[in-house]
Amino acid sequence: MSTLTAPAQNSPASQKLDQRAGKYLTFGLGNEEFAIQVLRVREIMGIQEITAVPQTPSYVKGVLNLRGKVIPVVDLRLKFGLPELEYTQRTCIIVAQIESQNGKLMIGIIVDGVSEVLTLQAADIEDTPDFGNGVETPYILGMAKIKNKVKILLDISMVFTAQEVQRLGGVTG
Amino acid sequence: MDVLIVDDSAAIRKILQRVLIQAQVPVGTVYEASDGVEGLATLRKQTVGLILSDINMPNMDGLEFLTKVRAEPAWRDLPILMVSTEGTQAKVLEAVERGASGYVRKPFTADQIKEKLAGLF
Amino acid sequence: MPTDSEKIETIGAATPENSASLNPLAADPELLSDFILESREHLTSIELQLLTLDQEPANAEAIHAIFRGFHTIKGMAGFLDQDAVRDVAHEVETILDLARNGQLTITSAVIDRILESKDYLTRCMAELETSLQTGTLVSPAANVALLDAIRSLSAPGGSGEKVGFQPAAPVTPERASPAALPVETVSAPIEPVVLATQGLAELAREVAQVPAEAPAESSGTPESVDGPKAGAARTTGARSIKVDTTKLDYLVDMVGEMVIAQSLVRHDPDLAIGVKPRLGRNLSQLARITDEVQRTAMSMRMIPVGQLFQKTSRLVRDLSRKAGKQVDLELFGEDTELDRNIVEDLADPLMHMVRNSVDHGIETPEERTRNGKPATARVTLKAGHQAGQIVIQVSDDGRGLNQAKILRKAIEKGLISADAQLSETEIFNLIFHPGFSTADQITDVSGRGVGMDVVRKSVQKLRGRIDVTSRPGEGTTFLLKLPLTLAIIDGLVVGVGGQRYIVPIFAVREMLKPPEDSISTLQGRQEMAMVRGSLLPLVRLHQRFGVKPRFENPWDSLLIVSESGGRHFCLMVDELIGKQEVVIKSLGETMANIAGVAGGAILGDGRVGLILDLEGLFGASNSE
Repeated sequence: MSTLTAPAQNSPASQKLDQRAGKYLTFGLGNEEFAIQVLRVREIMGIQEITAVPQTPSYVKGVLNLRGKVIPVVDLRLKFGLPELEYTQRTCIIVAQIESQNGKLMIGIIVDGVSEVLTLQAADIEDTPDFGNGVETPYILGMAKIKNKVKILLDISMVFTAQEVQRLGGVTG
Repeated sequence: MDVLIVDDSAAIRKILQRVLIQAQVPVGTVYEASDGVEGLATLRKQTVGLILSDINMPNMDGLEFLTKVRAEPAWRDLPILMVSTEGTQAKVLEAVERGASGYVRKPFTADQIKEKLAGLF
Repeated sequence: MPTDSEKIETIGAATPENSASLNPLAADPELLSDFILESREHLTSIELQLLTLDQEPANAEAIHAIFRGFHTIKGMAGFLDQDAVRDVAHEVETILDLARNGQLTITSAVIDRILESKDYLTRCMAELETSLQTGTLVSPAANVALLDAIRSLSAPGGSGEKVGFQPAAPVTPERASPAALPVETVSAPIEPVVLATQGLAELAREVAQVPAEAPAESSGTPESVDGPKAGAARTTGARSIKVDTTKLDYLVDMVGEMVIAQSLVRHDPDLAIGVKPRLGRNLSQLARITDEVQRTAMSMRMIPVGQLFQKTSRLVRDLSRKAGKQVDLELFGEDTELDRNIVEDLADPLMHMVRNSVDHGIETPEERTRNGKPATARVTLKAGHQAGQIVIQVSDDGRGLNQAKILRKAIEKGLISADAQLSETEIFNLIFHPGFSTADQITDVSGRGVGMDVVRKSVQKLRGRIDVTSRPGEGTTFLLKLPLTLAIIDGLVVGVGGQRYIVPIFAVREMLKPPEDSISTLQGRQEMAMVRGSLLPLVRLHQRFGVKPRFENPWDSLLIVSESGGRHFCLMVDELIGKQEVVIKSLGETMANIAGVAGGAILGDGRVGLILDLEGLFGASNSE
C-alpha cells in the first residue's frame, strides 16, 4: 500500500515518475487546468451551505457536514492567490483525503468546476519547469500535456502542508 | 421450579442447565450468577427452589456463598447442591458442615444428579 | 465415582472415537463451541499470567488465576467428554495446587511445561473447531508424552526445581512414539476466516462520480487487518475483535445523530396532530430500538475507571515516602465504567487532587498521633453511578480545610470584601477561584488551594462539576460529578446575523432582554450589564467572530447570562432559535484551537453549527 501514497518531495525523479502515473481528476481554476490523483478524491459535490469559522485565513471558507462528519472547506482560488469568484452551478467541492502530520484528514476543496478523469502514463508527465526565480513549488508533482492543454498535477497534501509552513513564517510558493 | 446456577464459567452454567433438563427436573426459570456476590444479589430479588453452586470462583467462592446463604433465616432450608471438580473428602466435608444439602462432583451425568436431587426433595 | 488416580490410569484408553453416543451433551455443537470460546479466553489469560509468573515466581495471585483457568477448562471438558483436554488441564492443575500450597517451587521448567500445555490445549481447540465445522466430531487424542512431562514435575524424588527439567528437550515427536502423538500430525491450522467489517469503511471510501479503482486503495482504513495480526486476532478470542477507536468514535457519533433525528421525527408538530395508533406504536418502537442501539454503542467505548485509580496508587506511594507520611490508599468502585475520552482527561485532575491530599491534607505520623488519630492516614478513591451521572469521590482523613485561613486569604486577595457573609460551602468553594492561589503560595495556604482552579477547569471542560466538603481535623472530600458521555450535549441554538451557534446549556444561567438603562460602559471600553443587582461584563458575539449582526444595540438583542470559570458574564446574540440536543464533533486538527469554539454540531437542517466555548470567549475578551 505504500506504493500508492504520494511521492515525497525529495524523492528521486525516476521514482517520482513511476509513482506519478495513474488516474487524475482534472478541474479548472481561472484559466488553468489542474489535476489531482483520483486516489485522493473521496467525493465531488456541488457548492453548498458552508458554516464560517472565525479566526481562520480567508481561503478557509468554513466547515460543512459530510454525512455526519464535519470537514473544513478551503477555496483553492484564494489559496493560490487568484481573485475571488462568485460561486455558480459549475462550482464544485472536491472532497479529498490528505496526509497531515497527524494522519489522514478529509478536506473540501472549492474549484471552479471539475472536467474529467484522465489516465496519465509516466511518459505523459513532465517535471515542473524551473521557474528560475527561487520559487519552490513542492505541491506541483509535474505537468501533463494532453490535447495541447497543459494540466498542472497537484500533490494536494503538499498544498496544505505548505500552508502550515507558511503559517510558521517559512518561505514557500 | 426456578433454579439458581452459580458458576464462573458461562459454558458450565449452560451445561448444568442441560443436565437438569435431561434429568427431567421440572426446571422453570434458570437464573445465572458468575460468583457468590451475584448469586446473593439474585437471591434477594428472586425466589428459587434449588441452587447449584460451584466452589472455586473469583470474588466470592462457593463456600463463602453457602455460608452467607445459610446465615439468612429465610434461606436456611433452601436446597443447595455444591457442584465442583474438587472432590477431596475435606472439601465435601467442609461444604456439608457449612450447610450444603448435597455435593456432586463435576462431571456428572443426568442420572447422578437425579439421584442426588431425589435425596433432597 | 472414580478417584483421580483411577481416571488417570484410563487415559491410555481414551481414543479419538471416544465420542458422544452415550453423552448427549458431548455431541451438542452449541455447548462445544461455547467450550471452545471460553477455553480460548482462559488460555489467553493463562498465557498473560504465566508471563507475570515468570517475572515473579511467587506471585500467588497469578498462580491462582492460572489454576482457575485450567480448573474451569477441566470442568467443561469433563462434561463434554473431551478427555485429552481434561487430563492435561487436570495435571497442570495438580502442579499448580502444589505450588499454591508451597509444596512445589515455580521454576522456569515448570513455567515451560505449563506454557507447553497451554499451547497444546490451544491446538486442541483449533482441532475441535475444525471438526465442528466439518461436522464429524473427533475429539483430540491424549497427549501421553505431555502428561508424563507434567507429572514428572511433581514426581517423587525431585520437585520441579531439583529435577532441573531439560528445557532443551520439550516433547518432540522424536522422543515420543508417533502413535502416542497424533496431535502433532493433526494440528493443521484452520484457514483464517477474516470477517470484513464493511459498512463504515466502505462509506469512507465511497467515491461518487469518479469511475476509478479507488476502493482498492487501503489507505482509507488504517485498521484494515493485515497478515500476522489477523492470525493473532483469530487465536486470542473469537469473542472480541479489535476496533480502531476512531471508527468507534464515528459510530457513537452517528448513533447520536440517529437518536436526535429520531427524536426530531417523533416530536414533529405535524405528527402531534392526530397520530394514527399504528404509526404511534411504530414510532415508539423505533425510539426504543434507537435507545438500545445508542446504549450499546456507548458501552463499547466505556472502560473501567480502575486503571486510572491504579495510577494514583503509585503516586501515593512515592509522595508519602518522600514526605515521610504514612498513607493507605483505598479504592472502591474500580469497575465503574466511564467514556474512554473522559477517563483520559480525568487523569490529570485526579492526580492533582490526590497529590494535594497527600502533600497538604495529610499530617505527619507524629502530628496524627498527637491528635489521637491513627499514624497511618487514609486516602480513598470511590467511583459509582448516581442519578445518571458518574460520581468520583476523593477523600482523606487529614487535617481538613481551615475556614479562617481561606477567608483571610480571599480577603487579602480581594476576592471578597472583609465583611462578606459566606456560608461554609461558599468559603470552601473559594479554593477553586482562579485568583485564590498561585504557585508561590503553595505552602502558605492551609492544606489546599494549589491549582484547584485548574482542577475545576478540567472538570468543567468535561461538563462536570466539583464540590468540596471538609471538617477540621477529620479530613476533606472532593466530589466530582461527570456526565456518562461526552458525545451529546443539550444546547441553545442562537442566531447572530446569518450564522447559528450552539451555547452549551450547562453553562447558561438565564436569558434576558436588557432594558436600555441597564447597559453601561466601564472606563470607556468594557461594556457591562446590570443583571439582578450585579454588574456583569458583556461580550458581543458578533464582534468576537466578525459577523454582521441584526442588532447592534444590546437592548434589542438577547443576553445570555453564562458562567465560565466561576464568573458570570453576558453573551450578546441576536435571538434564540431553539433548544436542541447535539452531538459534539471536532472541527479537525486544523481548527482545533480557535478561541471560543468548542466544536461543531449538525443542526436539524443538515448544516453545521459551531458550539461555543464560553471559557474561551470570555477569557479572550478578558485578556484584551
